Amino acid sequence: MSKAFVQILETSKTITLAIVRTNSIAWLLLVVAVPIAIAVAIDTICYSSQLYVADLSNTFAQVHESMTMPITKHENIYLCYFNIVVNNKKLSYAATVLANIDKPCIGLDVYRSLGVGKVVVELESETINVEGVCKQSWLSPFIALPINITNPMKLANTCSFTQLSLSQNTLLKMSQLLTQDTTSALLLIKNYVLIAYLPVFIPAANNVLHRVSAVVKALRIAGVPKTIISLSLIISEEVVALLSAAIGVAVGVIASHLALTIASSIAVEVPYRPLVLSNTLVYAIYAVAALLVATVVALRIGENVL
Amino acid sequence: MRIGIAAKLILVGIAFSMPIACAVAIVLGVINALYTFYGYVVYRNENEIVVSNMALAPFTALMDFESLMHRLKNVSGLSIDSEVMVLALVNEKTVLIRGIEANSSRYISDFSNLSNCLYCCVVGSDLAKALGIELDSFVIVSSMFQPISIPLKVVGYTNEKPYSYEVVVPIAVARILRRATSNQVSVAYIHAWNRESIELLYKSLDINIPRPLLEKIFIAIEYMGQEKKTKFYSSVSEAYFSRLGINQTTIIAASIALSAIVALGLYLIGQSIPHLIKNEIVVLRVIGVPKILIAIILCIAILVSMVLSWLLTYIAIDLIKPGIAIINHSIQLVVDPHVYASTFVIAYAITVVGIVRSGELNE
Repeated sequence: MSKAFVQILETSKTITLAIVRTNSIAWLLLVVAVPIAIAVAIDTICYSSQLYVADLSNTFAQVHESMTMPITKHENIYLCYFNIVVNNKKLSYAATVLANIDKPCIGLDVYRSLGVGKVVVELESETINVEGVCKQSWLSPFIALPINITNPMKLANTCSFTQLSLSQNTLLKMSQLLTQDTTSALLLIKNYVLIAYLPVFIPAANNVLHRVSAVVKALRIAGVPKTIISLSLIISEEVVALLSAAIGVAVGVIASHLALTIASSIAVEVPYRPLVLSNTLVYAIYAVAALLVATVVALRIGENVL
Repeated sequence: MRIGIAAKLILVGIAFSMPIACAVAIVLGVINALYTFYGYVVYRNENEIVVSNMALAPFTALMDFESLMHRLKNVSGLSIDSEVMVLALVNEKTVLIRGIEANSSRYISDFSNLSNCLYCCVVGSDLAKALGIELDSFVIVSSMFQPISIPLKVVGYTNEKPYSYEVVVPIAVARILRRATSNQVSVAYIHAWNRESIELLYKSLDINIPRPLLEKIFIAIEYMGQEKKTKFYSSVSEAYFSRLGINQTTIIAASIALSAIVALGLYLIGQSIPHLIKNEIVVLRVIGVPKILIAIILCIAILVSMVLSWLLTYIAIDLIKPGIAIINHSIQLVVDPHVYASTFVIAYAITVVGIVRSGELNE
């Protein structure tokens, strides 16, 4: 057992040297390193952008919290839909709230949006003139009426008791969202590149096999069994695949660093954040698995070489 | 060379080059879709000129509509519409809310039921399906720009693009969500009825535009106090991306470069092609066929297979659903035929180098 193991190691060493000497290492490098470099570069850019936006978001949230009054999370209201008249134009389904206020008022945002400071609310058989801007910020998107203006039970058809959630959303959420969406598109490109390269592994492995055929023949003449040569060839190619994967990762890191530096000089300054090791290990597994399958296929196709 | 061998070469060529052709098309399609997304959102009808502020996106831009109208008051033959776009949360999903002037004739979809209803909305059919929104129900729309939520009654659906992934509301409601004043809009669409009106329009805005670009333009106006800065662009996307220092040429160059890197693997495929018929090559060489002729035949065979791969992928690209969405708009891959053709030239050149440098031809 140990003799066979030693023989595999020695044969692998010979084949690996042959791979290097015959320049076939260049093809493996091309096939393994290129898709991995693209994948790592895309991953790093996405990762850095996401962390950047997350940091920005946290900083902004802290500043925002310290600068503004705490916002009420929930408000109990009667949300009603009355017709309103704005500039002599009747509008239906105008969201009106019955709130705990002294007199009818127009929410600041409604006032800004409609550009009028006076509206008429058609409430059952009567009309209510509403003038003046509401002081309460949470009422800003509504036209508000005092809750005691009428019995809400009477307005069952037009009003409903609602708990309105007021969330603290910021523009940063938008950047997070856009980063997420763009990231998913870039990750899709990455996945397709990795998949598209899979068939190329077969000619690459085949190429290596033919380039080292002279050494393989010499080993056969020296009496090394086919199985040992096949296993050694697989081991040699896997060693080269791991080396190529490492080179691919390095190139990807440099490329992403460069891309982020260029992007930072012309637009938003996104600092480079290195990927965690586990992220790059996936690519090593990809390289090893793909080349293993490709080498087995190449050995089947080019059986005469052995 | 026998037809059988040629067919074998072509089929093998297709099998190997097709994944690369697909990857190239997807790379180009995704980059193009990302780049043209803003142009898709700011849906511009034929012969319309879009005017907006200099901002990073249509949903962050706000411009003074009154000021624009004032500048154009002496120009006849124009119809002007405006929209306010804002991002908001609907059922915990971020959705683009488009505030429109409901009576406008620029829309194919029927939005007339929004004209007399303030807190109503028309929901895009794809979005309604995704979020389970039903007709006559209420949706709570929470602004991203300020901590407010507005309930809106769903009064209709639309399946027109790009609105099918959006919520369309009266412009006043979008202004509330965006915290905009009654004279602010995100974009204005100007339709000029004749060439003379277009020229007068540009004159009123103090813009000199080359004649060929007259009807295909995006104008960005920025007011800094009394000072006005105006820029024009040939597309909506170009205008917004220019704020990031990225223009269309950069995008095209980057996508071609990335495609070329993706296509590098074709070198190895080129190298393996002669190996498939190495016995035939030996025979041909023995009977005195020059190497160059064999190489030419191989290059023609691989040309046929690569043309087929690129063409089939181009035809099939419409069927590929990439499964990615930007602000819930499911993006469709659109490949620019010129850019795609240029990537073919690069890919073919890489393959030919592989064929020419293969061991079988040089032995």
